[in-house]
Amino acid sequence: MTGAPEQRNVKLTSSEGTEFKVERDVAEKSVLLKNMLEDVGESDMAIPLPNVTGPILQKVIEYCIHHRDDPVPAHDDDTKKTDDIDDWDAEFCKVDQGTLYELILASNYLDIKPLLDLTCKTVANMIKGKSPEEIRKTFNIANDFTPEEEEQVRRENEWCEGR
Amino acid sequence: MNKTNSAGKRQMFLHLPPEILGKILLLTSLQTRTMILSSVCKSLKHFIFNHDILWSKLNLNPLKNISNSTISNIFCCNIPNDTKNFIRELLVNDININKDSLKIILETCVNLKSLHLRTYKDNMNMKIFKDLLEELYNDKEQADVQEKEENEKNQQQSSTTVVKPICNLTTIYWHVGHSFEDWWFPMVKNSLESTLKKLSNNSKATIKVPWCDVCNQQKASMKLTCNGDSHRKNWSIYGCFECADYGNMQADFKCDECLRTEKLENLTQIDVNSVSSSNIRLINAIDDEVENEVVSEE
Repeated sequence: MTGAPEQRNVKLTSSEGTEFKVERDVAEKSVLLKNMLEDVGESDMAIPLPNVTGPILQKVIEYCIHHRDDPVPAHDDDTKKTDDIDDWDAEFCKVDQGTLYELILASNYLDIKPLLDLTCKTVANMIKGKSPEEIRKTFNIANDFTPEEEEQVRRENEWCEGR
Repeated sequence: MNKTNSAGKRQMFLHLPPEILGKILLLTSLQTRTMILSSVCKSLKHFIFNHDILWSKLNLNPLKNISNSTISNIFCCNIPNDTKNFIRELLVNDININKDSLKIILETCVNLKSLHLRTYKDNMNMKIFKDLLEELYNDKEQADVQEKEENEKNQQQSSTTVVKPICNLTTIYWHVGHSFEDWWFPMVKNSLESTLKKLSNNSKATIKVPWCDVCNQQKASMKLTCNGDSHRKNWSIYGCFECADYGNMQADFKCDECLRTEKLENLTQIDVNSVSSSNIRLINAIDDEVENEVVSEE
């Protein structure tokens, strides 16, 4: 860090009022915060984030610090592949489902596309290769089909069988 | 924490904002969405068939049972009417599609803007497509009737105006036939393009030809002949410079079908003594491959 230009810290306040100090380039991984900081200019005022709880904001900051030097993705061709999650990201997403959903919502609100892509891919990977019953179990979804309806849905969608 | 939150966690997945749930489902294959997820519960089924982005680009190439004999059922019976309205781009360039099937697609997918097609000897070429467009959208008959009515305006005559549907199609990504030596004829292409411009009333309507088989994103610039053993005759794909690695790919190029066959043969040879476990692995390998292909194509 020697010789690097001094970064101003940005203060963020979570929904419960917990204050977090982060370096500006870390905060600017969020497009929402980047735009806010550009609009407000230099200020010591904390930015309130009423939609993000402290523990989730902590996780988001952890992600942004790890990826602070990543280049801005030029296009989103790769975002449709779900098998390209690196080890750190995979470990980062090993959280309970509630936390994962909150991370999805926070990254959407803060407009951090790489984090939104990562968390959505993690959920998509939880779906892949599972049967309807396994998916119900994974996501705690109740089956409201009768056996006859379920059979009908299966028949209706047979056309879509893959090679 | 999981136990205490389990009631609260119930169906949280379904309560994600629609745009996020749509984004997640878009990361799964068409097969997973329609055959697996739509059987999970009613609300997920409803969401899948009523969410625009899940259908706006529909790739039918990976389907097992897709052929001219099944297209009619798929578009007239299987896909709900409202769902068909979401289809803006359709990929049927791996299907030996004929004029009748194409007619069904154009008639049922009224908002279709882009179509990926392939030249198939005898079944589909630009002339056949041009004739079909004129049959479906040209209002020549209507003009003739109106002219006749003007000429006989004093005579009371019942109107027989035929209202033709609007042509929303503006882009055709034309892939070149695998065994078709001529890439395309510029005159025929220009004729189809001008017909499309006229019928869609859009001066930017275009025929993108020849289109890259690999990325589906750019014009093809190179022919790559497969060195595999799955084909009776030479089999070629057409790639853009990037996908063909500027020609370097040709040396050892094998198409997906040949690679898959080789992979299956290798797997079978490795584990000849353990038939049952080998079978399971084979099935898993195929499943993984199909899933990956679908995701990358989508």
